Formats: sequence, structure tokens, C-alpha cells
Amino acid sequence: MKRYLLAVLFLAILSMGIYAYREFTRKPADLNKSDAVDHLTASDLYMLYSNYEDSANKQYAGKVIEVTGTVTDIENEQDTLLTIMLGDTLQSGRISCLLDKNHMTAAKNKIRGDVVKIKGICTGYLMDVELNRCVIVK
Amino acid sequence: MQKTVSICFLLLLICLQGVAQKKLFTKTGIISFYSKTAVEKIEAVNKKTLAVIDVANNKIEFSVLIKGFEFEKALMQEHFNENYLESDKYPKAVFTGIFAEKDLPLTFTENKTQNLQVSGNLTLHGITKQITVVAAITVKKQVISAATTFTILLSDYKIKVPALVANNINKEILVRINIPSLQEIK
Repeated sequence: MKRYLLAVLFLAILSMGIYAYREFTRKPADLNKSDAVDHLTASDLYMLYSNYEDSANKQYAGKVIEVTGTVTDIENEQDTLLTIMLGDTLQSGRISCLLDKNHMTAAKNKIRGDVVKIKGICTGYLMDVELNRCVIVK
Repeated sequence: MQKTVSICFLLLLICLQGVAQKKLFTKTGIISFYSKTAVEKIEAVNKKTLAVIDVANNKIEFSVLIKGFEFEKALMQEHFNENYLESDKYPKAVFTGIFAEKDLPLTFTENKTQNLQVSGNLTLHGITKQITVVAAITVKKQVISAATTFTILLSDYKIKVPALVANNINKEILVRINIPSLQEIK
């Protein structure tokens, strides 16, 4: 009985140790494998943030969202930072999608005028609505 | 002859006016911070910093989204946002400063790095503190870049670290700002 209890205790401590180690070394999730909490158009997301920043932050900041819009610009800085801007020509602000460095290749064939669907983590609003670690869905 | 000199003078004035009213900006400034202790090294980077230099009024402003800081480990990022910086409550950090009078008027010369003193208010975690930093502004191949390094104390911004991990996080954080290129606002 005592030996049985010791074995259970040992397994419990081992499991806790493995869990703690995995949790401590866990990398940020690849968004290709994450579900979006909401699907919006670039125009709707921008309007929401430019008019109601606080409530938009409560709803979306820190969360994975999927945004559909027209590519208005592609900013490539020395192949290390690739940002796709989504929006329309009528609005001053846009959705700024900073591509995940592991998924930049999929974005390189996109050009201005393409309609794309991008998944990213919404980090908030400066001049544009900012999305980080983005992946191209379509 | 006098007419030609007058036209040249007028053109020079127009050019100088253009420079003096110039506003430079970037949306892709890089802010990183470091904490190093014997137990752990922590580093985070945000590549979407908004920076504006108003040359006419000698002002400089930075804004950065706290949730835009990325860590190597997801758990660190979660603790940073939820427990330390409380990014739901305080989503941005903002610095508004002016260049020191001794460095005025601001001029940007090709192939030259100038160390300019900037003083202003840094608002972080809902607390505003005055800081003074030295910014190195370089012009190379007509590209204006800027960089600075400074330290902040966690206690100045009421950022509390739980006793359990007190030895993992340095009380003084090294902040690096690097702006690879500033564009003129047209």
C-alpha cells in the first residue's frame, strides 16, 4: 500500500514538473492553428476603433481576429518586417498587419488591390488599427 | 543683378521655410527592453512604434501599444500584460518631449550623427514621469534615423513584481529605441 502511494506521489510530482516546464518554455501560438474570435471587414474594424476605441479594445485587444479587406500598400523593410495595409482609399487610417516572420512567404505574392483575408492578434489603435503576428488565410 | 540676388534670396527663404516646417514620422520604430538578473534574462520587442518629430516646434513624440511587445516565451508575455503592465487598463505608453535649447535650431546634415538631448514626459502604466535622454540622429544617404538607450525604474511607474519572482526581474529596465528611417509628412 505504502509503495503504491509513493508511486502515485512520484507520478503526480513528475506530471506537475513536466506541466510547469512546458508552460514555462511555451512559445507564442502559431496563428494558423488558432481560431479567430471574430471575423470583420477592414472598414468595419477601422470605423469601430476610430469611433469607440475603448470598447473596441475591450472586445478585440489581445485577441485573434480575422479581417477581410483590400491591400492598399505593402511595406517591406529589408525582408525582415513585412506589413500589409488593408483598407480603402477613402479612409485616412487603415488596418496595419505585421506578418509573422515564419509566414512572410505567403504574403510576398500579394499586390495592391488584392482582396485578402488575414488573421492576426489585435494590439490596439495608434494611427491605424494594429494587428501582429499575422498569417494570410486567403 | 540686384533682381537676381533678390530672387535667389527669396528662393533660399522658401527652402529654409520648407525645412523648418518639416514633420518627420515613422510607424515602424522599434522599442525593445531588457531585464537581466543572475536567474533570468528577459527581452521583449515592439516593432510598431509611432514616432513623430516636429522640426518647426522642436518636439518629439512616441506612442507604443503595450500589447504589441513580443517575448520569446508566451508565459512571460501573458504575465507582462496581465500582471505587470496591466495592458487592458493602460494600453499605450507615450513619450512627449522637446529638444534641448542648446541643440536648436534642429538641422540634419548628411553623413553626420548628432547627439541631441531630449527632455519630456514618459507615461507608462498610468504614471507620468519626466525623463531626459540623449538621442543619436543620423543622416546617411538622405535617410534620417534615430536611436536612444535609457533606463527606467519599475518603482517609478508603480509596476509591482510578486515576491516569488523578485529575483528574476531587474528593478532597473534597459530600454532601447531604434528608428531605422523617418519619412517626411507631406
